[in-house]
Amino acid sequence: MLGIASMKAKAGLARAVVACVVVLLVTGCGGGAGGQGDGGTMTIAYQPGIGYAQLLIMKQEGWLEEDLPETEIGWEQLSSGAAIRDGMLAGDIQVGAGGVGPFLVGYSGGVEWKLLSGLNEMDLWLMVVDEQYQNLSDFGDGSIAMPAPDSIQAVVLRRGAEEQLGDARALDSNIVALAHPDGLQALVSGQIAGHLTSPPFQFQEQDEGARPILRSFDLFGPHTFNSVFVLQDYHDDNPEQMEALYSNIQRAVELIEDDPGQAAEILSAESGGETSAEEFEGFMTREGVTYTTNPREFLAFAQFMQQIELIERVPESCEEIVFDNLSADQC
Amino acid sequence: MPAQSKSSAASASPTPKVGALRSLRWYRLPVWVRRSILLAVIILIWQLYVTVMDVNPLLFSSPADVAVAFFEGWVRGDLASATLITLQILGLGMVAGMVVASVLTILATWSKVGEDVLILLTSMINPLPAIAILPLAILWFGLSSTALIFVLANAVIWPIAINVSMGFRTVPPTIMMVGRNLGLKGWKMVKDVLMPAALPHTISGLKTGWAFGWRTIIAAELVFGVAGGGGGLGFFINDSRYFLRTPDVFAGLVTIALIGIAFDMLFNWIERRTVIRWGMKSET
Repeated sequence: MLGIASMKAKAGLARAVVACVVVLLVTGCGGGAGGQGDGGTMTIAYQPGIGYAQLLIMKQEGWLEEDLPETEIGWEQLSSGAAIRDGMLAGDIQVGAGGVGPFLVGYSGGVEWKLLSGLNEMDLWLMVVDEQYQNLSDFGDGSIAMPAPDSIQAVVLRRGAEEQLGDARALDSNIVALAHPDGLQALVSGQIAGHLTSPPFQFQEQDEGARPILRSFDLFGPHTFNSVFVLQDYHDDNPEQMEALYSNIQRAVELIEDDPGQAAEILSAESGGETSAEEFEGFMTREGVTYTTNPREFLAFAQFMQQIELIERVPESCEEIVFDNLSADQC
Repeated sequence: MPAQSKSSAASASPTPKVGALRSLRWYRLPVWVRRSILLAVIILIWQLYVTVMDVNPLLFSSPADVAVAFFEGWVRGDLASATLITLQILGLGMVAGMVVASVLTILATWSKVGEDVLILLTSMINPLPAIAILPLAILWFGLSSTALIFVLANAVIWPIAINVSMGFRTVPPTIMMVGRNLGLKGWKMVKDVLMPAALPHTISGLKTGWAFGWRTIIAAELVFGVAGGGGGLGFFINDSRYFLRTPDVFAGLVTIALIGIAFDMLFNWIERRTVIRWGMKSET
């Protein structure tokens, strides 16, 4: 600025700067709306693990793309329920799949969403390697890993602490948040004392010599682990997509029940061959793993979470948290 | 001066008060008044935006909500204990960093090899953001605060070492010669001549080191994900995000900013009382 003497040069510079800013703004804004067919976009977000088997099968076999040719279907794998919830609030994701915890935390926080379908019921185990850990009172200073502070595993541990130690918060300072694969590594290499996780990681840890000392089915009875949820607005605006999604999830459940070998093949192909079909079949047919579209025990979890002050608002009845394609008799 | 002549000409008819008002200019107000007014305007615009545009409270909180969350956080003790934990770990990291930096700098002053080692290490490791070393630190030290202190020390050593060694190198030769005249050698020379002479650089190095350290510890706590009762400010923000307590996230950010400002002011105060007062550094 100091070196430019003439008014003309200054005006030219000003014009160039304004032009740059305008170009940047236009290109920045233009990125939002993509070009797609009349059906709009449907981005489906899920997390790692065989809990999302139905979605993985649908993704690999392209069932949704067949049924909804006008809709642009996107698939995203994210690391936590909270990330999926943030994505849905921001409008990047239309269909989310995750655990009971993030769904209920969202409900309590005022997110207007409901369950479109359950995905499975899975027994979640607290795995330990060391002989000295026989039950929860043995942990002392040892770290217990779980995927996230709001995860269903965090709730299960609190319930276990309440039953065995009398205080739900007794083990709070032992909790460490680690994603499932990182927790598996840490447990097997001796860096942490316990890992409250889910299939298939708990089965993989069991194969490496770990043993379960706490099981969620013992505390809550059989309960949902993962489910699919959608924002109320998107659900109401897109009935065709919702119908296609739900019927294909049911179709995947039938495939898993009738022909687990075939389902395992598809999952193995989806993983790029990293895990073999035999391993997948082993995980899916193990005890404590059931694939079903009916949600279960959400209200019990919600009440317990409210009791230990993790959430403030709880649903009074199933109607508040399930869409009408599901029965409101049990959730 | 233009303002004076204007008001003296105008005060011929209007009262002196009006004349004084006319001479009110933005730049004549004291610094703190100007900053406070600007801050108030920003907060007002923020509140208006949130209220008028009906922003989703889960995405963006209004200043009123943030103020409530901030106040409640301190009263409940969450923010206080989180801040204390973060400052404790930062303190340990800074002490570790200062010790290592001192050793490296003293070795650099005594021998050419030492100087070469310091310059080489600094140029290789300083550009690395310390947070990038966190995964390695966790592998080596496990999920304990040792890993955090290691990362912090790494963030803090290089700015301090660079500044202090520059301070040592730019000691005026006259002073060095006086020292030698007095028979000072080796450690005594360092202690009695070099260290006091390098004080302005040392303080500036500590300031920079603290700034890097503060940012690193918050980032590390976010990534580290320590849950339960033992987390610092970074964990507080992370936990609030998981439980959709957006005003708490903002309150945590406000706390971080306030502490940063407080420490900056502290360092400036130290500088004013020492090096600026003694004429070793000019006031900015």
